[in-house]
Amino acid sequence: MNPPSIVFIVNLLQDVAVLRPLVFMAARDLGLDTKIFVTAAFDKRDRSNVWHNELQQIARETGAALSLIEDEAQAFMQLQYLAGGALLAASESNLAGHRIVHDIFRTKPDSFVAITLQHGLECVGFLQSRDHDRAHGRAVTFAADIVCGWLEAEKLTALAPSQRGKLVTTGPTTLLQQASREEPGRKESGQRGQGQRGIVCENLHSIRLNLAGDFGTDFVATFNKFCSALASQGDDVTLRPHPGGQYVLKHNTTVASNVVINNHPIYKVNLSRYAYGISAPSSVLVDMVLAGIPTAVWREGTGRMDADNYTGLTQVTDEHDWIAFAEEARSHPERYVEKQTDFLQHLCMPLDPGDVYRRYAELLWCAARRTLPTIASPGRG
Amino acid sequence: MKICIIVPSEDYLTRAGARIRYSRIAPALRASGHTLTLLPIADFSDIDHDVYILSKCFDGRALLVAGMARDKGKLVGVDLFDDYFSHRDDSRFQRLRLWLDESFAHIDFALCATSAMRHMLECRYQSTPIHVMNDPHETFEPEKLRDRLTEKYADLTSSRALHVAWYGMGDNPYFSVGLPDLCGFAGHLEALQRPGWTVKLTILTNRRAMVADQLVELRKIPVPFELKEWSLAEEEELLKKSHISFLPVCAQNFSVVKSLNRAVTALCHGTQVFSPGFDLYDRLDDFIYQRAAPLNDAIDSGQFRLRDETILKLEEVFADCADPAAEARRLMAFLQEREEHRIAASPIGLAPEASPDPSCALICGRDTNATAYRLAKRTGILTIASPGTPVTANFDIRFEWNDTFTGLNLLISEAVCARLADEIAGKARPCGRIIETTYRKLSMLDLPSLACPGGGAAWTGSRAAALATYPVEYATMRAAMAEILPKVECISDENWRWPFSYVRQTARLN
Repeated sequence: MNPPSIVFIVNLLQDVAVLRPLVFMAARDLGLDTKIFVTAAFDKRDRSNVWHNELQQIARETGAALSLIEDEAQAFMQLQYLAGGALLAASESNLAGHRIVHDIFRTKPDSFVAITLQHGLECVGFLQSRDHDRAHGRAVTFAADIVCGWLEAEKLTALAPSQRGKLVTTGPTTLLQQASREEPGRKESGQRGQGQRGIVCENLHSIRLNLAGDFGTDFVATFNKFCSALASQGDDVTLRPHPGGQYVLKHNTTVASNVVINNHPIYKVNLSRYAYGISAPSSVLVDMVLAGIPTAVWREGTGRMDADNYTGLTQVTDEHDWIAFAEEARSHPERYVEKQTDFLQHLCMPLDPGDVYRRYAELLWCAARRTLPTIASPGRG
Repeated sequence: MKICIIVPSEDYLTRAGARIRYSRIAPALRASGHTLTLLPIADFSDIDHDVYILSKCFDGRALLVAGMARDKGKLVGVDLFDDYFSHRDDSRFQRLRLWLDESFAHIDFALCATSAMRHMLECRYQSTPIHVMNDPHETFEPEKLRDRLTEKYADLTSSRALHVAWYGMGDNPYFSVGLPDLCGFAGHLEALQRPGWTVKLTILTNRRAMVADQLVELRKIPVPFELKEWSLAEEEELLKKSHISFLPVCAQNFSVVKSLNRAVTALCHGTQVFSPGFDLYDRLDDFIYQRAAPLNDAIDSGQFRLRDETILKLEEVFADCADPAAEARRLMAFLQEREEHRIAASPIGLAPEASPDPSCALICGRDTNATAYRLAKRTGILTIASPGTPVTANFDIRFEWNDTFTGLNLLISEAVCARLADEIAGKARPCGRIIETTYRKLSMLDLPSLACPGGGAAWTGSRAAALATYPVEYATMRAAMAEILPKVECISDENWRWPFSYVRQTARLN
């Protein structure tokens, strides 16, 4: 009998960061045959080739086989020759943007278990903001057999009743990432220490900043004023574009001279080295909180933007709030960290990396054993 | 005779239609002193063959070629092997039905691949001779077939694995056919999966057919299967190793007129044919299984319908419906007869003389083919723009709505004016240039046939209005052309996907 395979499907640029730790787990820790299907749409989106290089590196380090998939038919024809196992995707649902992954899942051989991962705290079909509801409705479904949620069922308020039976709470794969101590390409030595610098993340492409109003303009204006204020104190700040959206770069937005752009994959960024973090509602806020830095969620002045799922975090609106928060965060970080611990507890999210690891490993191992019940456990030789 | 098959494109030359239907009879035709050439319509330049056969070219260009060939005294026919015409209540095919009606006014004969298709055509076009040209096999070698059957039976009994093949086009833009047939009839395969036997189905089909919804259906097939992309080499390889070809046929109009070619190919490669559903292959009846039970009996006994002792009989059946030499012979006999009929029908008992001037004009419609226009220009055929023609070009004649939408104005180029009767030409007033052509104008006051009652809705410019006014607009153009150039026959080039009609429908009131 042929060995089982764990097949990862990468379609959106941000899928790489979500799936990466599981590729390492499947290939290195569990010793399973591991493949990565990269959709043609991913290749097209990755104009800078950054993510292609990341995938190449992951493949080199794990021995996973990379292959380009044009359409669901090609995936079908490749999967039919495999014994079975698990198919994993970080963005799969019945929404148009996820179509190819959804179709691969719909048509997969029965010998494979299809697994969809929640790819952010707010994620269609799992936990949605009001903007998600407006854009996509509240009946998002998955072709997956199993959906891996970050939170327990009662907290995933957008999980359709028909999908609840598929839920396995695993927690976020972010907890399995080991950030580098040094960011690649940093040339900031001799300047102000990174421990004193804050990080601001933009997700200006998001429907959240465009559906209920033109909040992007508001965000950019506030950010620019904040940068001016920092500059007058001789301070600088790191700006991180969303990995998929890349708004600032795609639109050639002019940024102040005291802004350092950080566009490395999140798993290569050591967030804990920053003094504080500010972002519009986005999963990167959870990354910041998990990294243990003072974190603030930006909310525009009108209050129309829905940030309810981040209730419990410090909120900032105009540049005065930003400056006050930055100063306070540097002086008394513990005040924020304590508040953020409550936020995390309220989420009901698994937080222990060992626990999260075991949950995912069990899932992959069960899928492998379903194909080959006699497969030897890792560590038994 | 020099026969020219006009095909839609270069790409078509490699498709099954051209490969199976024409290329296989070409050697036999050559052996009897005839030639057969496949010519993409875009490459057509002049009439230099004796017979022209239009194949899958459903537009004005094909009608132009037909008109030109007839002008030069050549035989013209159309080859119809897919039924896009009998679904009379399906508006998607309205354009094709109109094209077929128009083409039958220009042709001497029609070919088709089955008696069922002939019957369908005869019901509508009683006066046109129709010949059934069967799709012939590529090669039929009894000795090789005998060896292959022996090998396959030995493999079957030793492996007890039944290799089943399904191959061919998996979809159609208009009909649920191909993979849906396979999925619909796949339950019949379950009966082959008996204790002690394994069934292995291989599906070979085109990539376009492998869409998600269809792949989901494939997953319901009750036997293990492998899906592969079709190629001729893959098909050859598959049939070489398969014991059974599974060829289910559904009973929709489109499917029941299909040729025998898939079953013929399967039998030539030594596979048994299992064809549940509509009895398309009745002419090969002695070699077809429509149910699983007798096939299972044959698997147990080795007494298959296609076996060593029945090869001779198969050869006899093929001679009647799949032999390339016989098909070539019958085609030539039919064409010779048509040619004799034409000569006999001409006034002096000789082949008709070529006409010095083109006797036709091309009316370009709302969605017209620029290459049709260019072909007409190149060959001296008059080009006519209808009111909906979007193309800007130097048309010889233009029809336009008048300001009150009560009739059409007729713009005639100076060159064409010279061909008109003095009485009409005298009324035409100069009206300036459009692009490089100088026109004269006639209105419905000059030419009463330009009146267009019922065209009032045209002012809106909407598609609905265009559909409503199409018949009256078209009838007006025809009537005006008949009045100003009575000897010129009008040909239409209309590829508009909306269900337009040339014929005005009479409202039915209770």
